This record gives sequence, C-alpha cells and structure tokens, in this order.
Amino acid sequence: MNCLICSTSFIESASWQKLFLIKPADVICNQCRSKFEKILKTKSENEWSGTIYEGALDSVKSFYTYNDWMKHVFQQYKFQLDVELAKIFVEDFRPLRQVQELIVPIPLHPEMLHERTFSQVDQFLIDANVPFKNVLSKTENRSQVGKTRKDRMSTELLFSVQENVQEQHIVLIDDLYTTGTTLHHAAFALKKAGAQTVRAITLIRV
Amino acid sequence: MHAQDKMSIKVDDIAAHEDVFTWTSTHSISGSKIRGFAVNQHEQKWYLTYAFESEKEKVSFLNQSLTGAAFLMKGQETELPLPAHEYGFDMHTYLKSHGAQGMLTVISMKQVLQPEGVTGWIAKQRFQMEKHIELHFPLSLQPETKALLLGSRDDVDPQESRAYQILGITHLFAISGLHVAFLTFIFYQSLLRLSIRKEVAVWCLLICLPVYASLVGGAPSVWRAVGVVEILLLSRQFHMRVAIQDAFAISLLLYIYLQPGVLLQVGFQLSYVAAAVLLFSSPFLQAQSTVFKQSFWITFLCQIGVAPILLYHFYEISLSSFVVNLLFVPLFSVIILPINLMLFLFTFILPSLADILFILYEPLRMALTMFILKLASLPHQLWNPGKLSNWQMIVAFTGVVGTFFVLELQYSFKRLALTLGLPIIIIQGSLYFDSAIEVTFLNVGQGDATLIELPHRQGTILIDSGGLLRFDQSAWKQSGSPFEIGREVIVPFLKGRGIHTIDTFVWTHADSDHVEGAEEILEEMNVKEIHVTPGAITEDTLQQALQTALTKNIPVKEKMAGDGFRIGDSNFTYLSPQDTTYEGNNDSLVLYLKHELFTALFTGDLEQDGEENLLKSYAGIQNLMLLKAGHHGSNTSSSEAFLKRLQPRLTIFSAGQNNRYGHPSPDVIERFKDLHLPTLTTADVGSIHVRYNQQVMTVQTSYEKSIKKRDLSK
Repeated sequence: MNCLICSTSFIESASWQKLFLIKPADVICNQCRSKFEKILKTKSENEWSGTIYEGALDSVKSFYTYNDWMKHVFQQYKFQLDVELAKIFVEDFRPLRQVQELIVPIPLHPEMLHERTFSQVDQFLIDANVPFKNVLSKTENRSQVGKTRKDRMSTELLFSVQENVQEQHIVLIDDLYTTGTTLHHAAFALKKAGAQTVRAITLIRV
Repeated sequence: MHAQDKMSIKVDDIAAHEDVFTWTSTHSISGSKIRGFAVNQHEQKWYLTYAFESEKEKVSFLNQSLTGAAFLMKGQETELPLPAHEYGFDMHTYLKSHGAQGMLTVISMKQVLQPEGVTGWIAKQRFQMEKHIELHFPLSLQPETKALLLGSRDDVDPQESRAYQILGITHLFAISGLHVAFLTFIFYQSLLRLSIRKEVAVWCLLICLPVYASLVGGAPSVWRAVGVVEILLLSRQFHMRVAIQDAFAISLLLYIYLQPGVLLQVGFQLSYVAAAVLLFSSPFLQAQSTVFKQSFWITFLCQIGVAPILLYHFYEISLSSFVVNLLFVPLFSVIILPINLMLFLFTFILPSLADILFILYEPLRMALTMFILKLASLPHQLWNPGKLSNWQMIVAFTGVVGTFFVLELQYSFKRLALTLGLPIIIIQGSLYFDSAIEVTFLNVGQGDATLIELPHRQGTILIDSGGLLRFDQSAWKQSGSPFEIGREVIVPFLKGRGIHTIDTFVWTHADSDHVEGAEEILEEMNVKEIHVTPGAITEDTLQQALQTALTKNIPVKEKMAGDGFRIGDSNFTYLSPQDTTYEGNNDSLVLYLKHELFTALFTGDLEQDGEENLLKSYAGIQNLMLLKAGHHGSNTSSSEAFLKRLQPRLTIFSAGQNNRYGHPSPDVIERFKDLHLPTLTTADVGSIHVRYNQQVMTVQTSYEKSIKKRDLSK
C-alpha cells in the first residue's frame, strides 16, 4: 500500500475492526497520520453573542487544528483537486452514520462546483458512507477569503433553505471553521425555516 | 454426557510388522519403556512402545541421540486404549494430532543406522547440550535450563509443574515467540557488531532460525515465531514488504498444510491464538500511556483470549494468572532467561566462573521456587466451570472477541460487564440448572470409584478412589512419574464436570484398589469430610491419605450401620458394618441412597456374610434401582438371596479388563441372568453414567454411544 500523502509504501497495521471487515484499510502511513493534530476539547464560542446570529448554532465541534501539515494536505485536496484525500478522514465522519439528525453539508455555489468538479464537503460524507441531504443552496458566489472579520460577520445572508426543515434536528457539516460566518448564516437560515436544533461539525478549526 | 467415539482404527487386520523405523524427536524414555513416534520406510508415522529387556539396554538408549537413528523393529499393531471417560486422555486424538497411523508394540529392536542428515545432526547437538547441562548444572537448576534453552520439559518436577498451572505461568517454561524474538535480536546485533554487512547478517538469520527451531525441539510456538520472522525477512530481502498479520496468516496456513494434525494440539492453539490477540489488539495496546498499563493489558488480553481454549482442554483457568504474570513475565524474560543463557555459555568458556555463579544463583532460584509453591498453595485461584460444550465455546469466544472490540473502540469499560461478565455468568450458571441426580461408575481398571452428583449442585459424594497395587520393581524400571489413577483418571473427570469440592468422600474399606488414589484426590480437590469404616484407619494402605487429610485439616469420621446424612431431597444411610472391628471386605462401609423414587446401594467389597447381615437388619430395603455389586462381581458376593430380595433394575460390576481375579465371575453373571437382572461391567463398556430425572433413569457408557432409558413410572 502506498500512502496517499507521501506516496511511500507502508505496512498496514492490524486491528480487530479490520479483521472483521468493519473498518476499511488505511490510506495513509502512520507517520503522515501522526502529523495531524486532533482537537481534544472544543472551545466555547461567544464571538457571535450580541448579533442577530446569537443562538442560531447550538454547538460546534471540529476534529483537527489547522497546522502546517493540515494546510499542506488541505491545499492538495481542495485546490489541487486530489479527491482521494477525502478518504483520510473517513474514520472521523463515520460515527455520523449512527446519528438520528438530518445531516446537511454546506454547499458550494453551482458555478464553483463546476469549476472544482467536486464538493469538498460532500465528498467526506460520501466516502464515509454517511447519508446526507443538500438542503441549502448558496445565494452568491462570493468567497469569504480576503475579507476582514468585520466584513464577514456583516455580510448578508449567504444561504437559502430549499426544503422543509420544520421541527428537524440538523447537523451542519463544513470543512473549515474560521470565524464561523458560514455556519452561523446557514444555521440562522435553517432556524428561520423552522429547524429545531442546529449543531455543526467541521473537519478543521482555524 | 457424550459417549466417546469408537476407535476408527480397525484392528481386524492386526499383523506383525517388521520394518525399519526412524525415530522422530518426539519420544521419551521413562521407567522400563521407550515411547514415541517413528517413521517407517513408507513415510508412515507410528507410535511405538518398547519395553527394554535389561538395564543395560535402557542405558544404551539413554546414552545416544535417537532422533534420526534407524532401527529394524518387529512389532504388533495394538488396539488403542479407549479413554477412561469423556474427560480422559484420548490416545486416538493424540495420535491424530501427530499424524500417526496407529500404535505398535515393539518386540525387538536392532539399530541399523546412526542418526543421519541435517535433522539427525541437529538432534545430536541438542542431545549433547542436554548432556552438557546434566554434567555442569546443579541438579535443581537443570530442568529449567533444559526447558528454557532446549525446550525439553520432561524433567520438570510434577509438583512445581502443577504450581505453574495454578498460577497460569506454565507458558513461561516454554520457548515462546518473545523468547525467539529476544534471541534473534541478540544474534543479529552481535553479527552487526562483528562488522558483518546487514545483508549477510539477515541471510545468516534466515538460515540459523530453522536450525534453532529444530534444535529446541520444534514446539508449535517456536515454529510459529520462526515462521513469521522468516517470512518477514525473506519478503524484505526481495523488496516486497509483507505486513506482520499477513506473515502470521501465511505461517498459519503453511503449518496446517504441512501438518494438519497440529490443529488438535493444545500448544498450537494457544500459541496462535495468543499471538493473534496481541497482533490484532495492537492499536489498543499502542495507545496505552505507560509501560505498566501496556503490560497489564498484554497479560489481560492474552489470558482472556486463550481462556476458552484452556477451559476446553483443562476444564479450569487460573484467576491469579492475571496478576501473577505481571511479575513473572518480566522476571523470566529479563532476568531468568538471560541468566540461564549466560550460565550455559560460561560452562563452556569459563567453567570456574560458572561454578561460582551457581553458588550465588542456586539459592536465589530455590527461594523463588519456594515462593511459587507458597503462592500456588493459596486457595480459590482457579475457576473451574468444567469442560465447555460447543454452545458454551461459542458464548465464550463471542465474549472474548466482544471484549477486544469494546477496548479497541474505546467504549466505556462498563460494557465489559456485558462481554466478559455475561458469558461467565451463563457458563457458571448452566452448571446449576440440571435437576437430575447422577451417578458415575468410573472406569478405574480393577477397582472402585463412584461419583454421586446431586441435583442443582447441592452436593457431591465420592465413594472410593480406585488405586493400583504397586509391586516392587527394580530401580531402573521405575518411572519418574508413575501412572496415578486418582490424579490421571478421577481428578480429570471431576474437573471436567466442573467439580472442585467433594462434600463427602467415602472410603468403604482399606484395600488398595479402593483407596490407593485417595491421597491424590485430597491434594487436588477441596474435600470437606471423609467417612471411613470403623477400625480401618490403622491400616497401612490408608496412612499416606490420612496424613494428607491431617495436614489439610479434613475431618475423618468413622461411620457404621445406622449413621447417615441428608442433602436436599437425597437421603444417605449406612447399612453396614454393624460392628467396630475391622476385618476386611465384609466390614465395607455400605451406603444406601434414596432420592425420590431413585434408590441405589453402594456395597464396596461386601461379601456374602455381610450381605446376609444387611438383609437381616434392613428388611425394608428391596426393589432397588441401582446396585454396585459387591467385590467387583466376585463369586463370594451377590448371593442369590441378596439379589432376589433387592431385585436391582441395574447392577454395575466395577472391574478391570482381563483382571487377574477373573472379576466379574461367570457364576455371578449367570446368577443375574437367571434372575433376569441386567448388568453392566466397566471393563466392557467403560465408565457408566446413570442419570435419574423426573422418574426416568438413563444409562450412558463411555465406550458406546447408545443410551438406555428406563422409565420408572411403569
């Protein structure tokens, strides 16, 4: 087996889950794996208190820090379109198969999707075999990159809700959590459309 | 109880064999005999037994390396002895596990060839090392050194060996994978130190490892470890890296392909399962934060993993092993093994230094042995739920694998209650469900041993313990570990049934064939009380057992006619003797059992006079359901008057095959036939198991599968 990140051949480790075919084979070597930094404790968020978005998002959980290694891998995934790399995080997203809530990924703008050929958020869920529903659609194709925090926090609503989410419990999925604008906007839209609870899971927390 | 399979090896064509046989490494010389596996010219493996004609012949065998040596042998194919009962040693399985055709009793043996070839040469080295150890090591250290360095465990003292079992550390005295890894590491590093190129060093290892495996006797654990290392090294040499679990699987498949019988060997099962447990639990083990935690979990997981196998083969597991191994595994692998290696080396290069070290080391090692024996003597160290049935094995293994998952998935330890606690409760609990009363007449050869198990484990009564008449033999014929009925037939049966406590142990009288095995039962079981016929305790045959009873604080009570006891719905009454002077057979302690409609009489060696006395005093006893005939069916017992009154629906003769007394006597058998009273003899049918449940009596015998049901309500 060759590591998806460093391409060197590595030896698959043994485990009971793999023996009983519950867990797929590793896609990256242990060395590359160990360079990711897991977030063990989620910090509580209060930057949005006082805005209209306060309380829209019930909780946020992220798996990894945005360290140099993650930046490097994420670059390769998102911008060099190395779609295979989504498999690295299968284990992180797999527990979502068991949750009762509706799983909603943050969408790309259709134009953006066309450009990138795949949705980097959906792909995590697809590889982890997690059922999800594209409930949201993006209203404008404006990237958040290059904006100040203040700019970001005050943009107009970024999403519209396409389906009925009355009384639903929702888990939002996104790749990066930087200021939380995207997630708060999405949560706000969902709550407004009648969702009962909205929590979020992101791969990375900056 | 499942009856044993009939032997599949046919004996119709018993023929004299004359062939050249080459000894394999699996053979042993003990007492006046050599036993073991040898291969004939057609590559067929046979199990041979040969009794030496003289001490001189024995010595000549002892003084040479036999593995690989060829002999012209004349012998006869022998019918395999059937197991004494379903938990007894099974020769058939043993031969199958070694891929042998059958058993030959050799009449004459003449050497035609010295050990040949590579294996012959390796065996010779091993033999010489063994001799070297015998010559240079203190006697008390020899068995351990031989076991650790050469994998030869023949000399380990049985008492110490039992202590290791109780503590669950037997595996330390076998050459394990860890052991092989340790030696491989030392060897490889030494080669590198000698500035040998890595490439060459690896090839050296590749060649030396199989030589080492065969030098140390080639136990499955050694071949497994060597096999895995060979596959890993070879694959690396050819630049195809194989994962360790793949190497493990390849070695497993290859082993089974080359030697299918090995699947039946306990050593093979334990070795592969323990290794698999460690291999597949590696993510969990590697996540442990401290070395101590890691070693705890290694011990824990291994013990849990092999527990079902141990229970299947030995009917008990050591509970203390979980703790004891934490201390003993490092002690043996880091201290004792290296010390033995070092001492062994010094006896070659610096014998004088070795002698000084022996003076220092021997007392320390002796102290450790004392400590081990002391530790093993503590009570309640074993869990003994009996032999696991197939469904219990499934429950046990499901629990074991479940446990591995709980740990790997980092679930809460509370879930272990489900994966470990539940199977334990189910397996232990199933012992208490049986509402039958069961009586087993154990096949102890010429002698008596009867076990009564009351419903729902209310109590266990053992009447007599069989025994051998030991004759004085010349010193050279005596075996280091002679066959013991109590230890090798009765105790395994009790353990197989999940029994560790005997409420009442009855000694009917003082003849060897009834009580010689008693001492061994007292040593291995928790006996609450002994009942003995009055006056018998001064007899020589009982002295050893009485001594053991004394040291273990077991009360010995004299009982006679009129005495009795009651457990649950079962009434026990002694009907004989009626006087207190001990005069032998007629003073046998006779026990009468009544449980609902079930009645049974156990007569010991009671003869006609005693029977008459019994009839006179207990007129009410008639229409018996089960009778153990007095004195093994001798002509002097089972008088017509006695049988006519009792009308036993089933009578058991407990007698040995081809015994010298001709028991049971044809006259007596005739007497029963004339009265239309059915009988069974242990010599013919093996152990006899009688079950009584809800007015139905079932009889099952260990040699035959047929079950006879007798509905008593009719």
